[in-house]
Amino acid sequence: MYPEMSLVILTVLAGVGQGMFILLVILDALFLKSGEVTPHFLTAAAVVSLVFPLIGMAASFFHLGNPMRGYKAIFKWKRSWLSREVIFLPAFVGLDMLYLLLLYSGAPELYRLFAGFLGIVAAMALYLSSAMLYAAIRFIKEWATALTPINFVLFGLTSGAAAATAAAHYTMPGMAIGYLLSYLVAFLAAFSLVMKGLTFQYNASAYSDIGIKNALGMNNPHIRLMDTGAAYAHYNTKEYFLPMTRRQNDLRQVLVLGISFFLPLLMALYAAYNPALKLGGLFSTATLLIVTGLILERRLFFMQGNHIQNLYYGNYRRNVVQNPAVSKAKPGTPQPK
Amino acid sequence: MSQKALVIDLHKCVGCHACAANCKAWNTQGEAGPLTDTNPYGKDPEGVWFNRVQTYEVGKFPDVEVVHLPKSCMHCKNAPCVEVCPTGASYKRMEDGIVLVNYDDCIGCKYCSWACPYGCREFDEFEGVMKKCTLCVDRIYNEALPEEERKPACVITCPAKARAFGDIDEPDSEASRWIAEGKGYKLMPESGADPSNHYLPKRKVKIHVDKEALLKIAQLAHIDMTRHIICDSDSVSEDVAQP
Ligand code: SF4
Ligand code: SF4
Ligand code: SF4
Repeated sequence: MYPEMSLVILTVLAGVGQGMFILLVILDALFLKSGEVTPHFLTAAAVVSLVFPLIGMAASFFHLGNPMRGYKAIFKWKRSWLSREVIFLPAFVGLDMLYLLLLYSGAPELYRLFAGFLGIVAAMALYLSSAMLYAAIRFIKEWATALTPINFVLFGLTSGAAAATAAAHYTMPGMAIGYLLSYLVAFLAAFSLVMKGLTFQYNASAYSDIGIKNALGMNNPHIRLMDTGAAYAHYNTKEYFLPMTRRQNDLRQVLVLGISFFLPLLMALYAAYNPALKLGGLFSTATLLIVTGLILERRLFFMQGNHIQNLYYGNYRRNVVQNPAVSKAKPGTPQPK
Repeated sequence: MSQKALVIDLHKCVGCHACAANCKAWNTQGEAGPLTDTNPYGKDPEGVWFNRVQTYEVGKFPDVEVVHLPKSCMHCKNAPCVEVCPTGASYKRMEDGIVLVNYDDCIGCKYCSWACPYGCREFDEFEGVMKKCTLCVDRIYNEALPEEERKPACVITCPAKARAFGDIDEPDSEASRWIAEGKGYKLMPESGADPSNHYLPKRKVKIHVDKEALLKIAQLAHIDMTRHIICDSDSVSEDVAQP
């Protein structure tokens, strides 16, 4: 599938904000009373956790052909995951703002934590609906798997935890919580690394049983496309298909694993073994790496998605990976056997 | 229930693209239009079409045939595109089963097109909305047209008479008769979408060629035909076989 940047930015950045918010409300509930986290930290982290989804939300409008009537997307919430995503995104942002307001104004703890709890519910619902939107497309095997929602939640939490840890180091230097959080980041990064590795392995063999024989309804093992029916490319040869050689695919997989999870894992481990250091800079860098890596990851998530309508255009191949000789051809050009 | 649909006879289709061209011509000026083009006279023309004809080679030489597959929205009974639309802009009409897009509600999120297994929706970048075959809903009930022209533009224009239009839930309709007599089938029934458009398979045609007559013609044309004749059946036969 064509990796549209607005969707990549939306899902990655909103995911960071959601992960951060979930974590900071939990820290608030557990440690604010005992003074192990400071209100200063919670406020700063809540602000940052707002900025990310707001950028994502702004980006999402660039995806729409008619952004001005975007509000209509909430109508079919009973059946469309996209509709649910469109509802939970502003709901999460709103609850995040409310929490921040209650925190800032010093409102009673109960109200604040209740808003925080609702925010967590909205954040989880948003992770789930963003992911299910893709997982519900049963004609793209690489998307229609339980790995999709698991990864959306997991990667969001990992990036959010790194950002929250950076905030902790900046706002509460020398306090134990920043040190403890580095263990959490290390654990989440390691877990993500394993899950994404498994996902790549799954994708390498994900392939629909439906073949060109079924697509055409002809029981013959030798079917070859001769003409796509277009002088050049068109929506169906561009939106669903992006040629990628095996080498490009493999290189991207290594970059995704390395930048989003492996390097941050090493950094978090370094922090875990050096409790005395102030590591705001280190975790900011780790956050930046994870976000950059996740942008690559989400792009690759799209590019590896192989839609069965590609059968009609001779573009449905195993592994998504295209024959290098073919991949240079313009989409829509008849392909050699 | 009523379900209007197209039936396309792959045996008759000659791959001339007339259906696609006439579809574009009618619809770009009809209610579903315009079907915008990018760079129409350049070297990389692109545009919105509701109907496209793909051509395939089926089989291996010498047992090989060319199949032209005109493909437009199948007006699925269980349309996945309608299920996922967040706005309700994509809908299936109760009265005749036609799947349509209400352009005024469509936000252009493209989600419906991802959900279509057949690749039958095309996004109009200029208007920012999703477009697709309307089954010529602005023709088939159009009282301004003479009665015999109240048919889809693609059906009317087909020079090979390879296309039929009608109600597939109505056993007496032309479409149902074609399906029953021509062993009509659906593309990719495994998709679960239950497409309404049907296709009639290619039929194997055997034609008897009289060996003596052929040799005589060859002699007249000074060709040594004895090397070329590979079959010599005796009876004239035309039988229909499933592909
Ligand atoms: S062919 Fe595609 S666009 Fe048409 S009704 Fe079926 S799923 Fe929807
Ligand atoms: S592009 Fe339009 S018709 Fe398609 S799902 Fe989005 S709003 Fe619905
Ligand atoms: S029914 Fe009308 S809109 Fe659909 S393919 Fe035929 S001419 Fe085009």
